[in-house]
Amino acid sequence: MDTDRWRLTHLVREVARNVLNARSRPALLLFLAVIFGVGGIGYAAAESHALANQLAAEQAAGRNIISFGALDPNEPVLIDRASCDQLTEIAGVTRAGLVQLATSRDFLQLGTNVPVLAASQTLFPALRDGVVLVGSALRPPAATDFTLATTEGTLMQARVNHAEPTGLNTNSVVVVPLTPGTTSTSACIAVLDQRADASLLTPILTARLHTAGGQIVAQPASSPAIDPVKAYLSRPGQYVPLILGLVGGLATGLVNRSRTSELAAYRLSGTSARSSALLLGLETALIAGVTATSAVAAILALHDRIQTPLATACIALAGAATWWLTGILATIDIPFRNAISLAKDR
Amino acid sequence: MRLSIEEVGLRYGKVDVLTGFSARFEDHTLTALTGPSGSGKTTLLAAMAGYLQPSSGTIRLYSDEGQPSPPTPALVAWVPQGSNALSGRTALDNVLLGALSSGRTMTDAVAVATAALERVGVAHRAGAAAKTLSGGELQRVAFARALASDKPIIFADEPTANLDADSTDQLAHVLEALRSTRLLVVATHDPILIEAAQTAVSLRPEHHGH
Ligand SMILES: Nc1ncnc2c1ncn2[C@@H]1O[C@H](COP(=O)(O)OP(=O)(O)OP(=O)(O)O)[C@@H](O)[C@H]1O
Ligand SMILES: [Mg+2]
Repeated sequence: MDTDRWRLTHLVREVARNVLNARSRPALLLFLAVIFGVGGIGYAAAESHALANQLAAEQAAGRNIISFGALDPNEPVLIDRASCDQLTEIAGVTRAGLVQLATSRDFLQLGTNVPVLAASQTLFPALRDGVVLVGSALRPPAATDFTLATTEGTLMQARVNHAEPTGLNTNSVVVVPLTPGTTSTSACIAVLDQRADASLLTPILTARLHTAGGQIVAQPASSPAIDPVKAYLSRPGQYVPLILGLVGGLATGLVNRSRTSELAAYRLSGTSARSSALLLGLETALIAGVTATSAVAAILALHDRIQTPLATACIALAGAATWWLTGILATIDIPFRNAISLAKDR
Repeated sequence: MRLSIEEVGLRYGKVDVLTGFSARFEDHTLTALTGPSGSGKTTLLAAMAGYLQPSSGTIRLYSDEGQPSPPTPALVAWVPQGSNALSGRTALDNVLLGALSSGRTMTDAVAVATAALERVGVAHRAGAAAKTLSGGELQRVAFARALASDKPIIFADEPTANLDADSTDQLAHVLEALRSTRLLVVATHDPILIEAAQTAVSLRPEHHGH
């Protein structure tokens, strides 16, 4: 039978010398493997960057901000303060708290009839510093902290509230803390984490609220037609590493087809078809391993710029496996061909 | 070891290369296989090595005890007509293939391969990449690779096509020395090799009637 006595270590040495050899053709594949491995991750980072931009824009427009209030304006509802403030204990909720549109007041620096909103410190943590928050659209006289005075002469420490999303509608109001005695109001607001799934969380949050009076309803501050996170998670672009693996595997098949004369050198001097197949399979595994390693290295280097590093790594590894399998499928007939006709291939 | 061919026909598709051909190749003998280009020398060697099934007749190997068996590539080291090589690897690495495929340790294999390169006169090029060797050097490396394998049979397909008279003489001496341990067949047009051979088997071109 067609057998030989190659030792595995020596065959592995052949693999290394054939692939890690600038003068040999598989070195081209090695180059491709690094480019594809890093390129696939670079593409994922670019997609993540686009998502981050989109999320920032939608966050400013009020994405993932949910207000709870009466379903029917004729049937007012009272929401218990503790149950609303404690929504922050639920994973995916960044902040939450009661709000109450108190009155409007006249301020020396801001003009007359400025709306004043009373809110929980859990919704506006800056209130804990003993300041009131002045919406940036009110043209406050200072960029940060200043002393705010009412026309009656009451002074209070104020801080400009720059960073609130429009969904909270605080850009043109002064936010003051709810008095400790307030135990319920008609409105509760929750700000969710940008990655959280609002449609999943909303019923959970609604169920946590203790209410009295009419029926309660949850309303998102903005509801974009397409959820950018869902769109990101189901984007076809995430499978680019699989396509790259397929292309790499086909390239491996092409390169191996240009090496039939070399294969003949093995086969005609005592290497069996099986050992030749093993040699080519191990060579392809080494090349696929290099593309996997490059991809993982790129993920480690860019991990804070990739939204889903673990999923990206899994797909990159699947891409490397695709490379290996495709490469083998595109090559496997060569070692089993007649060695004499292999030698004549030129 | 002895090889016997009886009434063998060889064909590619519907085209006969040989019909009803018989010959014997004896152990401890260098046989020259001659015939014009296209007469079927390579084809016959391929069948004798078990790479090609005859369309008719039988090819049998006989062990020293007279035990018959079909020909098999596992017993044959083949020196290809085109001097196939791993072009990006060194001459030594190319010759090592023969020694390593028969299960030698690396130290052992390097010793055998180096000796084989010395025998064919290219030891000084051992570290050179095969793609930088001259045609004649490459041909001798291909021969050394067969030498370095422990196969009892060597078929060399026109091993001197690119060699000058001195190198051909040297190879003829190597073949002469190998004769004691192997069954040697050389397909050749080279008068020096034909002269060095103990016997010659000659192929006539097949005449196709039209
Ligand atoms: N794979 C093949 N398919 C079809 N015909 C082939 C094949 N290989 C060889 N032939 C034909 O068979 C005939 C014998 O070829 P072969 O290579 O055995 O000749 P040869 O005696 O070795 O010639 P040379 O001295 O030129 O090497 C030629 O006519 C050749 O064209
Ligand atoms: Mg020929």
